[in-house]
Amino acid sequence: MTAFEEFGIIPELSDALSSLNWTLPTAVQSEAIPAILGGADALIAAETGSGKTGAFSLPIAQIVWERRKSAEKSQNSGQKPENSREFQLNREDRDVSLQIDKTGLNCESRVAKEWHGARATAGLYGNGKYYYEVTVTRDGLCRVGWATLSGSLKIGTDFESFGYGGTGKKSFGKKFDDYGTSFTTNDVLGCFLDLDELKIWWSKNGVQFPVAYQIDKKFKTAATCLYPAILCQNSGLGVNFGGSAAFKYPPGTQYVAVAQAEDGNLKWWSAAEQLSIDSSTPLCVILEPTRELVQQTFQNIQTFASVLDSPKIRCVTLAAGENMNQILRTLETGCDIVVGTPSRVFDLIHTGKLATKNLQFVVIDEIDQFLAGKNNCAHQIESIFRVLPLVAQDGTRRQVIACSATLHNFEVCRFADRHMSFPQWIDLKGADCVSADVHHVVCHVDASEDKQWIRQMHQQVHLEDDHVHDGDQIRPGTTDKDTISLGTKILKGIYVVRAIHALQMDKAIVFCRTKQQCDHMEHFLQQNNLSAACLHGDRSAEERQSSLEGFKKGIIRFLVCSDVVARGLDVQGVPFVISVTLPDEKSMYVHRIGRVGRAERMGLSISLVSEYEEKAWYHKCRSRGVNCTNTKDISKGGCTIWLQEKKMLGEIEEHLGATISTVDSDFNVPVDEFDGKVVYGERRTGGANFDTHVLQLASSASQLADLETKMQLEYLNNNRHVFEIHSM
Amino acid sequence: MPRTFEEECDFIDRLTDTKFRIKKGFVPNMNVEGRFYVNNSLEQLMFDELKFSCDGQGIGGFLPAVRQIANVASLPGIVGHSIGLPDIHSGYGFSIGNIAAFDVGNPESVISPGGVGFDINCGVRLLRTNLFEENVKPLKEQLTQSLFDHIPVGVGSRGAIPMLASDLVECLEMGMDWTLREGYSWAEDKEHCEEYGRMLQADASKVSLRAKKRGLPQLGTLGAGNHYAEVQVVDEIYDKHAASTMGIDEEGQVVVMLHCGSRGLGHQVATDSLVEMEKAMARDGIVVNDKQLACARINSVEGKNYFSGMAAAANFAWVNRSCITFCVRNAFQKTFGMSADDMDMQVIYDVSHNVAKMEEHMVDGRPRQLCVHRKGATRAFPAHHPLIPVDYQLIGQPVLIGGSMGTCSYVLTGTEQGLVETFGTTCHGAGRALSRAKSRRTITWDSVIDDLKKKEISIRIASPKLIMEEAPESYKNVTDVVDTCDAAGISKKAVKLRPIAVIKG
Repeated sequence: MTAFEEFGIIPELSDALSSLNWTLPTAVQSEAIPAILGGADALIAAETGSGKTGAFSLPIAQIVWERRKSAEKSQNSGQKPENSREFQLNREDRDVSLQIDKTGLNCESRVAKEWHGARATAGLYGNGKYYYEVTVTRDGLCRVGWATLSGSLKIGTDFESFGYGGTGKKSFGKKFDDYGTSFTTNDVLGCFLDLDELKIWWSKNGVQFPVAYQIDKKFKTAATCLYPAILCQNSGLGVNFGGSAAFKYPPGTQYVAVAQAEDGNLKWWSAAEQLSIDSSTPLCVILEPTRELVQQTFQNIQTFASVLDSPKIRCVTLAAGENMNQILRTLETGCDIVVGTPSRVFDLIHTGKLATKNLQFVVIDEIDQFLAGKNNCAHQIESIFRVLPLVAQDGTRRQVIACSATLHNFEVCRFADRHMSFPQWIDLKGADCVSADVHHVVCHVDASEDKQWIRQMHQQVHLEDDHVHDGDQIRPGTTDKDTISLGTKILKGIYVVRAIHALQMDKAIVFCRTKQQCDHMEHFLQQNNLSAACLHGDRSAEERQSSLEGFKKGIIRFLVCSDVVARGLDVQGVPFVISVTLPDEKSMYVHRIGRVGRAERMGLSISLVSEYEEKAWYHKCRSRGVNCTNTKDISKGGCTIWLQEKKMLGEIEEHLGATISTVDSDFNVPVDEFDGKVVYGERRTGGANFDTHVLQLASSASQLADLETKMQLEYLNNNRHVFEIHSM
Repeated sequence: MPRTFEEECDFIDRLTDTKFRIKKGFVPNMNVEGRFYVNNSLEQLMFDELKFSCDGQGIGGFLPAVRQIANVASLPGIVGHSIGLPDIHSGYGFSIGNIAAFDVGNPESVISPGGVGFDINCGVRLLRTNLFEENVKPLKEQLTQSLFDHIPVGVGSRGAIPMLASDLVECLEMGMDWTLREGYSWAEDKEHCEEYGRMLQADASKVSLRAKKRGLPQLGTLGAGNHYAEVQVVDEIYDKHAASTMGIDEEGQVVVMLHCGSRGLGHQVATDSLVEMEKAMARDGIVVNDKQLACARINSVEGKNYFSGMAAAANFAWVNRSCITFCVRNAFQKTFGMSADDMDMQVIYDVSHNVAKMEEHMVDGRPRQLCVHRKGATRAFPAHHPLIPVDYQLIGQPVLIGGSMGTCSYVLTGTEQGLVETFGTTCHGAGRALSRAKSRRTITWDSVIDDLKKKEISIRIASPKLIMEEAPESYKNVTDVVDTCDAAGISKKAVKLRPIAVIKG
């Protein structure tokens, strides 16, 4: 019995946990594990390093194993039905509301607004050119074509099936394109499958349309071969597989009727095999944003899966740089859990290499990053969801688990509304708020008041500005907008150095807005004999790595970086952060100051906020700023904007629901009334925000305790007889 | 070579119809003997569990409750017996339903977080009303919905009462004195609470920042798992005098039972101290049979820290139950258009299930101060005991036994025999019969809901998919449990209650 078992973890797994020395669950684990095991959709927000990966991989390994095991059992106990060798529509492989007559060649569905389909009893593999005919017997919506066994019965809506519909559209992967002409009652449709040339096309009343699809060669293999398939919505169809009746429009001698195909090309459907196919397609897919996280999660799952036997849980990773052939082989032999990046998973689903029909779990880690990302991730996740079955073949509902840095985010909530059913919120972070270990202050920068920038700009050592004002006439001493803007930039450099000295910073992260400003800041700090290095997208990976190492080891004292790079930065317990400019995105403010004071070490964040508007680059041009000198405002087709930092500060304060205290330009940080004096970067002592009354109460408490003791002793002494009566 | 089941049974013998003894030698280093209380059907469950583990069918580190009782008997400083109650089932280190008392005067004596459990001061509170079933019936659905709307349920839910970090520290320190000061509790509520709703030993600074962070958003919330709020009606009165002293006069009277604890905060306090104590054990050379029995000397820094932290978590749980009481009264007021006062919505009593306390008990004919660990067990002091409220001095302490979901609950009273035999303790509820993992596999959640509907119990659940773990089939029969305690004389039946509405996280 470990503490985990109290959540419903099976003893087999809890043994593995003991050997990992996981005896006590973390906060997120104790909330999430019972929820996930209970089958709930879960939205999880927890800090990195809080055991979040374990919180979902542990219950998932267990459920996947349980599902497989129960499937195995029912397979062993269930009797195997006789295999039919009649080429007809398969009553065992249809949507329930599709009626199929005794001959197995006529079908009808009278349900409005719902699609119901069926596959034939055999599929075709190997070589050859094949043909079958369908006649529309009752008008309504219908679609005819081909599908693999793992494909959807709603043909054309996944990457395992191909359809031609009555409205004159062909479809594959939920993509509907104009094809041929529309058809209605009494029209006869021919379905052509050419396994030699890997082509699919259709005909109507004997008139052949051009090739509709060039298909993957995997459809030649028996395991993933195509079966004739039809789909009705409030309509009726008659099928002719060419078994006994002659075709109405014979296709020509090179084509074989599907029912006349050689035994070596026919793959008969069998219930037993159906189950074994099911147990080879994955039950769970886990999406991770980076390769490292894919690896990490995979190892986590693997550890748990390795202790589970009969059946073994098979996992596979999908990330850039992996051996694709090997992955494909693993997928073919069967796997249970897939861990990958969205783009890879998307690709494999798209090409039909990853069957989705059995997927019962979707885990999306760091979902806020996916949804906010400007790349294709949000779109890819949407398209993955589009092809996922809502209810798996055994009737279990899809379970979605999403982890996010915060749940208080519009995108995340919208995702939850769309794809999750009554998700449980496991929110261990709460709304964006500043950690209690961080003090954060703003310093107002007023270039019209503090004119020292004028002197400095004519000296050799000053912070190089971003050249936005190179074309402007600068008139120091005036309140000209451009002049003040330039002054602000130079003055901020002065303040950064002053803050470093005033607070005796020996280590800090300095955030700048653009890569160019990062470079300038690095140079400026070095000019001031402060060891600094710069991290941004334009520096090589090696340089970034060595800068980061240097910073961690303390060789480099100041790390200058942009927001983009800072996101994944694993630097803990930095005592100070300086924001030279407030971030464009208000939630980024919390991320920035989250860099300091981690793990109960105290930290201070200083943001420089200009009193006046500051003109800054905002490249919309094609070069994204390389050699761009277009200083016109963005509204006039240029590449600059006027930053209004005071307004941004207001927004941030509103977001946090608190006013950020200010500090003067001498950087005398106000002492927090509760904390008293703190040393930034040191581990926080005391814990509470203010003194408890324990000491004050101590004497009264002990007096009361004495009284209670006395009363009890009196009672016991007066009732000695009771103990004599009842003593054993 | 492990012993066979028969060999194991040689160490266990029957003392009375309902009481068994576990002799020394069953596990190494037992300082005292073990005892457990069962009736015939519960006896079966108990021995099956042992048999299972002997046959090697029980996989993993799973220890049957009997062995856990014996392992606890080997802890340093334990006095009397290590006692298992009829609702016992295995838990982390100590079984749930295990009582152990340690002599505070003995410097070797220990305190163990495993002996208290993770959900510190998880407990039950019973509110009475002067309404009757026929008054409530026409409005039952509205009432259930209103309760569900008023009481914050489930994981991640936020409390109904706005709370700042500094408020939390005060709650930890003051317990129900805080809710009283802020106007959420009535003055009489406090009177009818164990410890008057405040453990004076609480020290909020001994609760880690992480625990406080976990606790803050959960204050005043019900929580998932086996926690619930139930509207019940009096089904049967066994002891008319005791019942009327508690304000229960007639069958059909409506009462409200709340079952909840200290949520994530208590969990974190337990987790933090388990980690800390492992180090202390190495330092003080404490050796235990099972790694999960991490403990520290009562008078060591770690021991004292844990006790202060646990007391703070206990206060948190009382504040929690008081906040929910406030919500319940509001919901009733809204539904019936009467003030809670007019409906006589007094707290009958509030008991703790998972807590350790310093108490005076008679050991070998001499009074001694003991640290009594009650894990999944309820204190049940007899009439005239100085630690029970004035109102109940003549009948003994009310003991509230919550059944499993949808089954009946009981009110018992403490007895002198209980004080003598079990340090004034009795059972706490039904007790699991199936582990959560097993319930998951054998019971489906919709069938559980259907069953409740058949019994005409209105139900609102935040996470319906979790309830199969709480289905009655997963638990021992509460009536068996209560009858055993009654037959053994460690508590006495007073009132039987049956649910008409359930609200769950």
